[in-house]
Amino acid sequence: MYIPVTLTEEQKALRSAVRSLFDAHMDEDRRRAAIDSERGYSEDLWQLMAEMGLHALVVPEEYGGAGGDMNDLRVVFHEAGRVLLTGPFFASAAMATPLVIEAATDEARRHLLPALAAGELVAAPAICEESGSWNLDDVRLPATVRGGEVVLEGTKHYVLDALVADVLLVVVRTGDGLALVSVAADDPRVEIERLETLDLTRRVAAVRFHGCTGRLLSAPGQDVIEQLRKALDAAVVALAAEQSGAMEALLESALSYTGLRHQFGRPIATFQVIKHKLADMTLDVERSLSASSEAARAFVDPAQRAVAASTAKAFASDAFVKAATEHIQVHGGIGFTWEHHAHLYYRRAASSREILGSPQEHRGRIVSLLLDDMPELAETAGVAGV
Amino acid sequence: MTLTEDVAQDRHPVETPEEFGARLRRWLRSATENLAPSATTFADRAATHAAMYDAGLFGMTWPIELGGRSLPTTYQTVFNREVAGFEWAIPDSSVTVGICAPTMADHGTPEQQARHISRMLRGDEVWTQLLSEPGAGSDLAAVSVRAIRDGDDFVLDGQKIWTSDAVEADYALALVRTDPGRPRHGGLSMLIVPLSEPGVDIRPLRDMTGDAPFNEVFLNEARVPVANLVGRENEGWTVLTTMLRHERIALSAGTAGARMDVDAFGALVALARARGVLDRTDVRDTLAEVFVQQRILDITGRRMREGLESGELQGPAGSLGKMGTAMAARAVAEATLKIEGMEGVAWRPDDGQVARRMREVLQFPKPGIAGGTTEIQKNVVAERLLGMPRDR
Ligand SMILES: Cc1cc2nc3c(=O)[nH]c(=O)nc-3n(C[C@H](O)[C@H](O)[C@H](O)COP(=O)(O)OP(=O)(O)OC[C@H]3O[C@@H](n4cnc5c(N)ncnc54)[C@H](O)[C@@H]3O)c2cc1C
Repeated sequence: MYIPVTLTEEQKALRSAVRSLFDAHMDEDRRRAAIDSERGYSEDLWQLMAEMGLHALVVPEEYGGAGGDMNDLRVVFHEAGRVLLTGPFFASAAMATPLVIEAATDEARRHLLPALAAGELVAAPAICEESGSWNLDDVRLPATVRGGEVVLEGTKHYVLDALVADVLLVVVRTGDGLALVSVAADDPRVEIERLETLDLTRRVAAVRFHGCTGRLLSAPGQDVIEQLRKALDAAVVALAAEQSGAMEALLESALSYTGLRHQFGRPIATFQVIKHKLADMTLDVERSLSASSEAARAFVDPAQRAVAASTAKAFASDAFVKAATEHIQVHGGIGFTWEHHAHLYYRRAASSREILGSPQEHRGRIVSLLLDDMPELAETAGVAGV
Repeated sequence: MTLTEDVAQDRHPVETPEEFGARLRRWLRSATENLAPSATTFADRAATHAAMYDAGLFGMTWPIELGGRSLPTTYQTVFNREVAGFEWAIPDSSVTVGICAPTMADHGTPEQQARHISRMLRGDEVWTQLLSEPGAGSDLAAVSVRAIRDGDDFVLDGQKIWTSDAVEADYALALVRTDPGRPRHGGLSMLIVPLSEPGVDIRPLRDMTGDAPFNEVFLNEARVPVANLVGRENEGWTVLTTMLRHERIALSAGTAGARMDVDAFGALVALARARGVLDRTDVRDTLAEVFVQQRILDITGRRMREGLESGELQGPAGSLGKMGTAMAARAVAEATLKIEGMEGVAWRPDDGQVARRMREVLQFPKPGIAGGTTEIQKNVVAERLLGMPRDR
């Protein structure tokens, strides 16, 4: 963008490799084809991504991964956001994989991570329930643990990409607290119902468990709520990166269209009102980039991780919706057509704003965290400020 | 001079950014121990500034030969973080150190630089800008103050307006018309004007808070040596362009002395607690919005400083930061009003705290006007950064 973000040479190389890959395989026609297809994405592209190591980015090396950091993930999801990448990459690599990394036992990691890293296994995270809340305190789905086996009875909602997943990673409540369980997606006692979605590029399902058995991934008797929170923060960083990437693409699209479209005998880009809308969009792209890159940087710092992640999600969510709205507006009638990509971005924006928690919820979390963790912050400021 | 030779010449102890931060923290605490925020005078602040500079705790990123310590921008990031909460104790040197000094570093003669820059960093000299006129605000190419050559001097006539801190300032960089025969941008020059000179008449103007931080400056046959030209005669527009870039970056990126990471959130939390509204959901939402905007602005500022250091930052990008700063100022003011509620509508005459806070609230339009309005910043972003066509 216009204000540089510090990247390593490897990250710069990664970014340009991923951009070329997506530009070639996720152009407008291919995106439409993916939307209309049975599985919702191209398995060929999935395979090419696997060869590039994109599923393995944050998986530790001992489990067959690249051992990268959150900024690597951010760089890749920024690119995925630019093209509105379809398919289970977000669900599997940014949600399910961190869940296993953070909350599963060593044995369970050995079992799942190498296949996830190789892109051979697709996992879908089942977290939300009927309430639609992404707050882990609201998880109710009960599970009875018998040894390593778990019996599930109940429903999960808003499960991303469950229909194409091999395995479902289910967050359940046991007598000891929250636990992470895997269930084979083709288990006959699992019923997966495809839901209609606002975002045509992201598939969502409701999943019913009829007394099926799963495998306990987290340690028996352990409440893994904090580990799950960390994993969800990783997903939040990836989602905020997607949002900034998509906004960047919208700015480029608006810039190019307003330069080409003539009215009153001149390009509409000469109208100041249009210029100012694009200037506002540019500021929001830069601010979203600041927020998502800081969230990636702070991920390893326990004192800053959660606040930085929520800051990014709260800001980029609203900014993306605003950008997608203005992007339609500067296109006039053509921006309102089914054929134009503008509505796909708007649909993605409005839906990503809610996924993993709304901006209001994240703002609430920010204040609670800051007040709980830094009581002295308010007090020292009080001396000078009040 | 290489960086290592530079550092070897630094007369202050070699320290990591963390050590620097810890030393600064200790220093600030002890230096402000006996000062009260409400009773601090201009002279107190100036003394603190000079002592801070002498201790190697200010202007660190400036080159050694100009009076700094040649330290990388990380030290500025630490500085901006550590001084949050001490804004009342340190003078706002954004104009002198963030705008005028870098302009002098770019365009001043070696003599001008040697004479002024280290004194500017120490706060011994306060500078301001004589740009705006009654007929030339956003459109500075319309500047009409005349400077007529008379031997080794220029003789200045005309009026400037909105000049910040002209009463306290020692010098100004003035945009003047040296050749009325050339069109608009062509006939302008930048001059160093000593404000104590006869013929310089300063009249304070009150702003909407009731304070008088800016002035009208009348120039009546004020004589300024030709040696005070910054950049070449009739090339003042070039100097102005870099000056405005410095200004926008300084005001938003927090380069030396310019903008500190203000802890608006902490102050608002304390206020909400005092008013008993900290548990209200709408108040918490507003508090978080202030935190988010401020935090992101600080990070964007850090990105700009790093970009400046690596040479990757495009000049007009400072306009983005300035747009963000103006938005954040509005958000903080709105949040204060919301938390105060009726207490901000009327208060007892002896309640100096509410009065001071309301005065602070009424400052909100400043960052969206001073240094170029938000609309002008958007024009700059659209035309210079995004390359959108001009319509003129
Ligand atoms: C607190 C403060 C301190 C200041 N300090 C100094 C100082 O130290 N030295 C100094 O020289 N000046 C100073 N200024 C002046 C400041 O730079 C000008 O006020 C500013 O550039 C705007 O000029 P103006 O007031 O003439 O407004 P105008 O230029 O008349 O603008 C009026 C309105 O028209 C809009 N407008 C104008 N042109 C355009 C355009 N091309 N496109 C879209 N909209 C446009 C503006 O955005 C604004 O909304 C200060 C101002 C303030 C408020």
